Amino acid sequence: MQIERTSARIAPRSAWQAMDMGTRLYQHWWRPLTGIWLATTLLPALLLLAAGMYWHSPGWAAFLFWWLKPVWEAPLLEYIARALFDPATRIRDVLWRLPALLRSTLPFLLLRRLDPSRAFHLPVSQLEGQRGDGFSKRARTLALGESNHAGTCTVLMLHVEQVAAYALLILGFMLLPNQLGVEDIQWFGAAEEQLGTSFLVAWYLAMLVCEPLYVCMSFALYLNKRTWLEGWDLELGLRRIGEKRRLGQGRSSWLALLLTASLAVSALAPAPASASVSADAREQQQEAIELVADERFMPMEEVERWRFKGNDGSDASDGDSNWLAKILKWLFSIEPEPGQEASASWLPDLASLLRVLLWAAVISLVIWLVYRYRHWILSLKLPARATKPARPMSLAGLDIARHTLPDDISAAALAALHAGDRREALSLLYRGTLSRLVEQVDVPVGPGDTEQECLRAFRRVAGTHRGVALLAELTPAWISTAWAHRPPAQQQVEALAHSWRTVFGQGAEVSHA
Amino acid sequence: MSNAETIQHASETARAIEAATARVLVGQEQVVRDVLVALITGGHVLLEGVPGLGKTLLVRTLGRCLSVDFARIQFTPDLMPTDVTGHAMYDPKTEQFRIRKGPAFTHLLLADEINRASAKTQSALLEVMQERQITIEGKCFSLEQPFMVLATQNPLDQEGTYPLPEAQLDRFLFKVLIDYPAAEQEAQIVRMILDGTIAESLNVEGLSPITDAAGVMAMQAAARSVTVDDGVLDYALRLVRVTRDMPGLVRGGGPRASIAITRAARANALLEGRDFVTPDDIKSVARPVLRHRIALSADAEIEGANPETLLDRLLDQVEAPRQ
Repeated sequence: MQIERTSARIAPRSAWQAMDMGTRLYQHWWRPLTGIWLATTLLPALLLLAAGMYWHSPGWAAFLFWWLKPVWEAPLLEYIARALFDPATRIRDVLWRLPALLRSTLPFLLLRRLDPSRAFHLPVSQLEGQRGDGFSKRARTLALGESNHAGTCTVLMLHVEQVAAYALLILGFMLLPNQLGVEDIQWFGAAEEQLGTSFLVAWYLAMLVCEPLYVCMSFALYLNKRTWLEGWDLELGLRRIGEKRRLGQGRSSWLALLLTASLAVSALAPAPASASVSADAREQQQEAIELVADERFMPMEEVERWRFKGNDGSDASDGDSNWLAKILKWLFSIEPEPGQEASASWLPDLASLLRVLLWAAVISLVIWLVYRYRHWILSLKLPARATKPARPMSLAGLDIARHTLPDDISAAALAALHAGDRREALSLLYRGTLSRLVEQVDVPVGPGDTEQECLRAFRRVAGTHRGVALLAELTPAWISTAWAHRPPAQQQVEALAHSWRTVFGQGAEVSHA
Repeated sequence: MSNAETIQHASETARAIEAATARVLVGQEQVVRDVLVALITGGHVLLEGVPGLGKTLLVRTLGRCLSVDFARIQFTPDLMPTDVTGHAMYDPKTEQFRIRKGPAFTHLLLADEINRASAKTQSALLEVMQERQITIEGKCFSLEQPFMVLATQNPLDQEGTYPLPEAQLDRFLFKVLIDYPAAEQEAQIVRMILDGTIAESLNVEGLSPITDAAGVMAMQAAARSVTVDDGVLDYALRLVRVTRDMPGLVRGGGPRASIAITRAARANALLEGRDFVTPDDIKSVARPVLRHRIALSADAEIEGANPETLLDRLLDQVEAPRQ
């Protein structure tokens, strides 16, 4: 493969950028790719369609066409691989090679058909000519380093293809006149034969775009992985510089190129550089370093991205600050652990995907359980750590805070009574009773509780409390005063004031019967 | 007779009726109390409960205790408005049209399974409830007082029913829920049936009348003399008005609910032997008054809320009146 003849800019990219490059490749060569697709698949598709209609089994025809996808993809790959390095490639050149291509795709019609990274591995067999163990070793090598997301690409394109097929089918039915009576089609149920045939047509049309695109994206991923692993960009840069130097300065370019390449690789390699280099070689080395540092050789690109705070890789034991980053890295890390050789097959990707899916399922289950039983969880009381509720400052709409009441309530009530204000006297006694009881008894009362409800609550909690007995006497008297504007007789209020002093005294004495 | 004596007399009568009815309808004391409050208020009651909980027995017992007429209509989809109100029929003997009064011409009317009839028939009855008069062939007939409708509906088996529109629900003073009696009370009912203390066939002939139609009217008049303090009135209004903006509700009580809650509270006070209304009276009638006048929002229903829980929250959160 003569990489210097490539018409695309070779540079190490992320998998997503590589897929983007694949779409650019498709945009550039979509006409010949579509032509190849039609030339190689139209006739078989029509034959399968006819067979499906003849034997009333469009499902089997669809399955056969789907299973033979690697056969249809091989010419597309052949074209894009040739065109990338030789823009003069013609469709005819590819079609002449069809028999040879079919042989290379044979393994992909057996067990490898179910490989999610099928199109990514197809170049290994088709372009590199690897078979058997050689293929496995090569595939393992290509699985090294960052994940290539080839399986993700397959899943993504599978969905795009299906959605496009259904969209085309639905669009077609929407454009049909109502008189044909096709409103009651069960779209996703047991497909009728006509619907199945229609879907096959729609699916084929969707594949007209999706399949070449998929092959281009996978091929771009393949190129990207090789760029990472084999330093294609480095090689291209060195060749270009060597060419320049050969033409411009007339030095021994081959020597410089070889030295530069060897030094650059040794600088990048973890192995220690050799100490026994001659003075001439040192000069050449310095020259190579300058070349490598040159902007033309390795253009710098400024990239901004979000990173976890403290996760700069300088200190692995920087405490708990990056614990979330560690968890996420462990959870979603696709690359193998240090010292652990990655498997070449698609299994590691699948395992990582499954791990993420399982964790997502577990987390979702926990969230669902918490949401489902939120009322029960909220109703749980923690008696050990339960804080005592704040003492109510008002009950039955009355201020019962101690600072709003006189120190000697009984005396104040009697004073009000002698001044002729029975209502005020009774109010003081009632509020004072509530205030003292709330201090001494933990009663669950709310703002909406009325006088009778307060009395019932106190009776329920502290029925034997002498203060509650006094409250039971005071409540009807207070209700009559408050809501019927009929205060009790003076003697009754006086008796209640004396009872209050007996029960509570002047201070906040606690007295139980 | 002074006002206090009138109220005292009316209260004793009402409590006697309550006690007699509760003796027959075992385990449904709150239902009996609510129905009696509605009777004294002069309102109508919508009873909701599964069949077989004594709704007919309740009306029969009330009719017997009050010594007033009693009628029952089983609502069905083919029931016509004239089957409720009455109609004019041609009499060949006299060669004239004769008015045939329907079952609505009574004092106590049990409209069984009201939601089974069509909207037209429901409207005919609800008009009678509101106007307390019936027009047949252009001739207006006033209903005898007291007139009270006890309509029932089954919370289950909603297939083929015609739910009452909101505007018509508002015409019921109370919506009362009848639930199964407690285990002890159910055992008591069975024991009474086996002993022959009460008849299995809803025979209430053994009960002696306590008052009559005039007595009921006197109780209603006495209830109207019960005083309501401004603070209590404000509390009733606040309870109703909060329902209009309460989270979880798309519809709250209207002015008719405010009127109903205050009038019913007066009747409740009368039953308690008081000539003034307390906040407790308001609270005790708030649930049956508001229950059918509020509508839950979709998200509240999805969260499993029901009118009872929301009303409980309302009564807990709205501050009791300050005096």
